[in-house]
Amino acid sequence: MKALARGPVQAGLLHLVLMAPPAQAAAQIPLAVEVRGGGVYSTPFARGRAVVPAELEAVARDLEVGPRPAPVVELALVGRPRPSLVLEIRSAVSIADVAGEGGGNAWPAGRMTAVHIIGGLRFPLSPLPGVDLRAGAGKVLYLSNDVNLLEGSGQTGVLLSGGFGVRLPGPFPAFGVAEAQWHEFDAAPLAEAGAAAGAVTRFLAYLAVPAWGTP
Amino acid sequence: MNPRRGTGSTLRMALVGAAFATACDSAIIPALPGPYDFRLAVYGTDGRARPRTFHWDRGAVVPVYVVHEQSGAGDLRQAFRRAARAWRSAAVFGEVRLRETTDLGEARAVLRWHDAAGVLSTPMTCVGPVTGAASTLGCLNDPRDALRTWPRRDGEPSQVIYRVVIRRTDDQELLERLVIHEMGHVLGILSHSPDPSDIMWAGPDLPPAPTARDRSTFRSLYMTPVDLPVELPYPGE
Repeated sequence: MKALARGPVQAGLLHLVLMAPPAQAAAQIPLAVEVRGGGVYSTPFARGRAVVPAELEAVARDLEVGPRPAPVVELALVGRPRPSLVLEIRSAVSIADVAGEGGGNAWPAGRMTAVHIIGGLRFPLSPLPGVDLRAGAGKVLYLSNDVNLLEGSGQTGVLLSGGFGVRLPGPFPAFGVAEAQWHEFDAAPLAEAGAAAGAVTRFLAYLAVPAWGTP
Repeated sequence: MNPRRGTGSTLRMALVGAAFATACDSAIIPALPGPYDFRLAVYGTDGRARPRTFHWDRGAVVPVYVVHEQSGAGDLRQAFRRAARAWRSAAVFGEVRLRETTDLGEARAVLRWHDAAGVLSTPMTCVGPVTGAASTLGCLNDPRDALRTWPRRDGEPSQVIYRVVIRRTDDQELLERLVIHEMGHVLGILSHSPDPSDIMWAGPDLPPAPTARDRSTFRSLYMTPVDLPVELPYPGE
């Protein structure tokens, strides 16, 4: 499956290389670096069910495990090849506590680091001045030493992203950005454990401030 | 072509697509087999058995002190690591985790060969049947309504709740399966599965890892209220 996926990815990268503007043209593309800070909320990574024996309490209790809301910091390289189009490559990191929940209880289940790398574009939403739509794709990587769920496989996934930015009033050109990210969580180790994974949605809200250049 | 019909068809396709997308988004939770009874049968002074439930606090990391020695027998430390991994993969909701410790003061369980130098004293009230290839033993207090800690031989304060003893075996695979079984007891499965295919079956020929029924039992255990608490500190210590 991975071998099948590798082909289109390599072809896509080659396509991007061939499409890349020559160095002289690239030098003419206004570039900027943005620093972004905000928060991320994620839907659970896994859901399951526990059946408590009938002679104790005849109930089935739903379980889930996932990261708690956490701060996120992102760095973006932004270029504007055309007045109405902005391209960006960005990478973010967030460190989140992970919690299990079930039967009205919550418990600590470790701590993890999430890193995402996304290539994307944004274009103005013409009826609304100062508002742009954003879309992108990339990878997310989860790292942890103590989250049971993240042991072994199931740590990376292809990420799709969409959102919008609003230019904020003020002396410096800052943007408020709201974004949703979506990725599949590898269900292979979970099926054996009797838990369901599937899609994870992450919601991010952050403030983007130019640190260098003016695209 | 009827344009109205085309619009309706497009709408239907969109609705079907939306329903499909919704269906894809809601993951189906795989069914696990029903759990077996994980409770300890505690016999009171009236001779009646009362099933009791013990498990560690959800989210706890349980330190286990491994009395390790290399004398031609199997590698106990390696067996413990495999057991910790096996139960960790069952605890995907972060219910509990085992880790090895070299600090006896923080250990909640001690794992050793039966002929290795013991680090715990054995009060008369903790004496129990030590038979078979391996055993896990805990101590009850006098009213038999709580677990109590094992005293240490060196007289230092102890938090040890379970003593796990493995008989000699040169078969590393058997050793590792035995330790997975015993660590199941340490985590709170205080009885045995009636199914010979489960890791918590009391007989020989254990499977290489916890089965779906073992995992189901483990998960149910950690959603069940504890009614066999731990009495700390050890009375008289």
